[in-house]
Amino acid sequence: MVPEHTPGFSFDNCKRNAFLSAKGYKGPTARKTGTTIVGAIFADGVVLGADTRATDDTIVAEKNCQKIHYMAKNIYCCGAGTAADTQVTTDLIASQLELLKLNTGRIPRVITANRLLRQMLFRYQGHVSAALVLGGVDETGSHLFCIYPHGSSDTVPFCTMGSGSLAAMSVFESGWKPNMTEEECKKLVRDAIAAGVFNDLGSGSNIDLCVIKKNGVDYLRPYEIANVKGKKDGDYKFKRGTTALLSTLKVPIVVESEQVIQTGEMLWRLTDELQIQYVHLGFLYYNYWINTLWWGKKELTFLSSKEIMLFYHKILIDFFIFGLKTRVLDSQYLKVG
Amino acid sequence: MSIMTYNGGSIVAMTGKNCVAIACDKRFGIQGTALADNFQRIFQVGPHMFVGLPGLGTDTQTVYQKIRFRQNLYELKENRKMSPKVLLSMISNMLYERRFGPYFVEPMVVGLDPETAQPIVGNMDLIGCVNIPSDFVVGGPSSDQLYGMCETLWEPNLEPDDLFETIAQALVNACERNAVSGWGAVVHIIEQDKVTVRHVKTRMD
Repeated sequence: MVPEHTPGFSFDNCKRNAFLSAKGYKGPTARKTGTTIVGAIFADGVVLGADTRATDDTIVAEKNCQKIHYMAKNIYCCGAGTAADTQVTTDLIASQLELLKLNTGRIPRVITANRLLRQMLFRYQGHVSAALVLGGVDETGSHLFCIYPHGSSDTVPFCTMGSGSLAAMSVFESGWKPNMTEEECKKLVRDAIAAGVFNDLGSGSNIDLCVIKKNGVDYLRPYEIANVKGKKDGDYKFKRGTTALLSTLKVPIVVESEQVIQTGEMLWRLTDELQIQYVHLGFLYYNYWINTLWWGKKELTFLSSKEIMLFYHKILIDFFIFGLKTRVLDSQYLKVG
Repeated sequence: MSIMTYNGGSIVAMTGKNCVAIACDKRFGIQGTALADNFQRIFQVGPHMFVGLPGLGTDTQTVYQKIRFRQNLYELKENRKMSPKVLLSMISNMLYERRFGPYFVEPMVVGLDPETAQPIVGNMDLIGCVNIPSDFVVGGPSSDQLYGMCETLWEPNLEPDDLFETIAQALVNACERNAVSGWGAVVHIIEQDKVTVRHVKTRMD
């Protein structure tokens, strides 16, 4: 791509937007996750959990959004705050981790992801508002970090973030214990997210879980559909033709070019068509000769009917042989295909 | 007053059975004063792909031109058509670049995937947070009303004709309760073999 300007954030519109803002025309708010995200360490790894609601102020903007982001094969990260910030920040660091993995030939460590995220967030002094729960397993064991938008982080055995963090933390504080089994931990994390979903208005819809262990990752999306939409009793479909129209324009899709690459099977079908065409052609010849025979009998006295029949037979035999040849060819192609 | 309601103009997009639809009202005004009833907010960016740009009129046009510029470069360089998901992520990156001085548009993309013909609708907020739901997306000043309409009227696997009635009624009735939307509407139904553009009657006040 031709670069439109230097990399990094662009501040082209800032002056205009500040002017509009001063005039009383406020810009729209960015989408927030308004979230409950949690993480907890158990005996063999880490469980991350999140709800799936995104909000625009009081509007539910998204009912099933993904808040557990991929960082590396062994590291995942939950995001809360401004939705775009959490998406972009995690994607950006995920690509840096992938490059690191390719450069060093080692599986990236969770502390590396933590440091990269913190440095990125600290650079923007909290303006990139992403609150993260980073979890993963590497050769040094299971790790869980809580990263704040200004670039600080906690190293903890269990943590919660987002607007539902208080509800979720109450579950963790009463239920968490060291060296839990996987099932115990999943149940605890599910309960913590459910507490957020049902007690915090910014959180809702489904519960996603991500279990990271030394031998692999279980991404459970959805782990539980906590809120099922009711079924409609009535049918609210409008009858066709209800809407008043001013004009209709049908634009067919114009195919500019088409290329058909034949496989063995396709050739089979095409030659079938060809063969039918040849039979038609033979039939046309037959008609032609019969017609001349019947209608032009007087004019065609120089040709005896015997000669005509011989000619017709020759044509017929020619086409029969040609058809046979293509059949043989087809079977050869089919064997290849 | 928010800058998003300054010029008016609401857009809604829905998925159907092997088809997608995008609809928009045609009003362009400066706050309460209506200036035009033929403002374009939906743009065709491929045989089966449309982009809708609700928001401030000037940014609608600027962002559309930026999208076309980048899309043309992509298609020349890669020698293939852009798919809706690629377009969404391209616009998202473009908008996030202006995270601290955004364009006042909330773009949405509808289309059929060029490979699989799978219907896709997606939208994002003004700084490029992508959302690709399985049902519908809305945007513009009457988005609250549209959310309500779509949540009631939409159902899965609508045939193209039923999808048209559903999306048109959702938009027309949302415009009934929004002062800065209306003045006629246009509905695009995108199927594999054709695109049908219908201009719909709405109230003119």
